[in-house]
Amino acid sequence: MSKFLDKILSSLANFSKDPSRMLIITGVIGWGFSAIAQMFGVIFNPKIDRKEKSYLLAQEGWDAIANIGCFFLITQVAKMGTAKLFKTGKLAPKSVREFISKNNAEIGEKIGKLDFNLGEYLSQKNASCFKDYERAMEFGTTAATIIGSVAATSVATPLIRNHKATKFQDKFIKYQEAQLNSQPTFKSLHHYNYDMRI
Amino acid sequence: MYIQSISNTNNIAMQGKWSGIKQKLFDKLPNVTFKNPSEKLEKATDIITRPGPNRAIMGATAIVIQPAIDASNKKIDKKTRDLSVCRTIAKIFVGTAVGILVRHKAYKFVEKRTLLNDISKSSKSLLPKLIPDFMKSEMGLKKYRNLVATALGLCALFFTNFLVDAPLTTILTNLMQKKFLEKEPANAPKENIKEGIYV
Repeated sequence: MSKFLDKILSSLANFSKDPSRMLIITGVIGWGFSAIAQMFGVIFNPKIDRKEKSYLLAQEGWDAIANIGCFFLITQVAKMGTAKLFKTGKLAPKSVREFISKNNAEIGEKIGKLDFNLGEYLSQKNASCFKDYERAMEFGTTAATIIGSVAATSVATPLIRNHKATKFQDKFIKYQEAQLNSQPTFKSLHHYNYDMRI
Repeated sequence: MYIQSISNTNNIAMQGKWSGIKQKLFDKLPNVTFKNPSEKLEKATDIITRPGPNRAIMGATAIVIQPAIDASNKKIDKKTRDLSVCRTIAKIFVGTAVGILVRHKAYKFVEKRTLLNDISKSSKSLLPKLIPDFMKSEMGLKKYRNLVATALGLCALFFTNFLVDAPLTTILTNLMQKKFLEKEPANAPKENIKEGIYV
């Protein structure tokens, strides 16, 4: 058991160098389970009728799908884009900008180039401003991830899931109406007590 | 072989063209310089990257925005729309409360068991036997703790989703539906379900 646990902890230690991959996996699994659990909650709720259940079930399913899709399209792009801006020197704190000015002959032309990594350069040179660079990048990418997550989870996902759920409910209502219309005319939906008096 | 080399050459050419376009777009962005980050900013970043506070931020923004979006969906009937709003509020409230609690407890659990400088065995029980070099720094250790806490929280949430979240969401939705949604007006005609046919 302890060997197995140590293997898991070592894998997590490796993942923690770049936690974004692990966060993607845990995020996808988390959204999936949450959607399945909520769907069960809707199915077994006796106080919701079938028409409303059709909308809510579709809403839950599309909530998970849209959340996962928007995470990659919005959150990840925001995070990676911000990280790139810091790595190429487009965004920099004052101390880093002063360092770049002092070493303009060496790295002046490389600033803004997509294949340049300012963090690696500062680390190799043991620059005093490396700590400021790390703090700024950490805060910048965190803020971008949170803003991206809010845009994805609270704006884009509800719009997508509501649109899809509305379409699903329309199809369900048409299916129900078709079922009703196909019934023979002598059948009634309600049970009447007929008192036949002659 | 001849065909393969042509497609490889085309791929490399396309990649080069795309890189050039990306670089040109990137060059249009200005260089931005801002104040040096303080220690307070580092502490704030450390707090908001923890699973618990992170979940709280997501929950707070969700409860403001999502019900408004649900309420603005005029393509469905009023009853479904109102029910959807109630359910969204209930789901966010329950999910955030349970999520914060589980993630906070998971982080505290992991923090107590990943102390590098402590002597006792239990304080290192969630550290791998061979600790990598990057984990010996404060930032590296924090990243590891966040990840382990997230993984542990996910395992716990698998159970809480089915045993706590879904039932509580259902109960809260039904309560809100009963209390806040419009009741039928008193003078509404009642359906006549008993009819007699008199011949």
